[in-house]
Amino acid sequence: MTLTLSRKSLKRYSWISYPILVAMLILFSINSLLGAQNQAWFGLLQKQQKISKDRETVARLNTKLAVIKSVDVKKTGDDLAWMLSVLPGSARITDVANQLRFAANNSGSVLVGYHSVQIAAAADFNLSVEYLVPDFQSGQKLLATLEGSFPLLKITDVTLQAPKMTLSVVSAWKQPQSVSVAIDDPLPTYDVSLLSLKSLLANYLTPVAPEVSTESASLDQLANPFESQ
Amino acid sequence: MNSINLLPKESQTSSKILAVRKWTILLTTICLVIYIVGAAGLVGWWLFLASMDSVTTKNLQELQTAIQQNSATESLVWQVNTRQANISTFLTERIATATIASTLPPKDENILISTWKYSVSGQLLTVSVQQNDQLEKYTERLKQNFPNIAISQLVNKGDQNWNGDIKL
Repeated sequence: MTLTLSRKSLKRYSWISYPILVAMLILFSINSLLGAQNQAWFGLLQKQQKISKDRETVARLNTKLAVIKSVDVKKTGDDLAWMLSVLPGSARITDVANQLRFAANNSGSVLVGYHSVQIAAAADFNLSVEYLVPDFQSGQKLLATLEGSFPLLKITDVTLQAPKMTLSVVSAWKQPQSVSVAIDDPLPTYDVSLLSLKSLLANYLTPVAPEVSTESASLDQLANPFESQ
Repeated sequence: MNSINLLPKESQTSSKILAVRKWTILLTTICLVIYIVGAAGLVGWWLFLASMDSVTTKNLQELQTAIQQNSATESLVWQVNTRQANISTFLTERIATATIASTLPPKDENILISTWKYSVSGQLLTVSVQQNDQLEKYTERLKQNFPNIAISQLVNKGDQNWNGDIKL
């Protein structure tokens, strides 16, 4: 009798298992999604962020690839060769000596001597140069020739005590450097600045050949190698 | 107005339980449907993200490979750019000493510039004059280009021979 009643009540209330099961299912799912151990929800959010970031990178790489493919390799190679002719990849003391001698001849001064103060491992070297100048005006002309003809020479110190003039000169050169860039770094555009650099260098007068006679050299013999670039 | 339920007590309880059962099942079903729809959405989202991730990663790898294949061209462009920046920096840092020298007044028959020292920290000019007032006139002319001019030393080296050190 009791057993029959118990079964009857059990059957009568069996529907309660339905909401209980559903509640358990929902709670279990919420725990799986947000629980500290699983963090599936955060995993999804992170994945979405990663995809969004990757898509931006893809867009950048697409643009970069298009730019790389549009590069005129021959023209860029010519540009680099020109740059190397302006700023050499190694120290050329003989060229600099010729330039110093040219300036002396052009200003009516005499190059007494020069010695290197410092040759850095990978760039620019310093020279101490001594001239004999007849007067202050010749010294002015010497400086004007050096600065007006040789853009990659920098005069940092002058002591003019006529007839002796001592200069500290920095001559620029730069070893080719390895550039470390990320794969998605945009390719630099240098066309505009290259044009402005060329037009700036076109203002300088440089001897045709680096070998300048100690006897005669004048501004008439100068040509501008940058003009045709 | 009060109503009187004339059903027997047992039937009344049974009726209440039935109502509770009905509402509970209804609400549970609504929750279950919402849960199923939500779970389906989440699974769909997860599948979508997984597929997108796979596509994007593949695209990325292909592009990286393509760019690496063109690395010689890229390196060339970077070299040109770097070298150009080097030249521009050198030219920018260049000091126009010739221009500075040219701003000194031209040769004056009464003035002899015996020393001119130039460095980044400043300039020192030593001049010889016959009369003291000639030096004053000369410094007045220099003031046009060098407003902070100062005579640091004035030495009389005998009759009509003055040496002046001028800081520019």
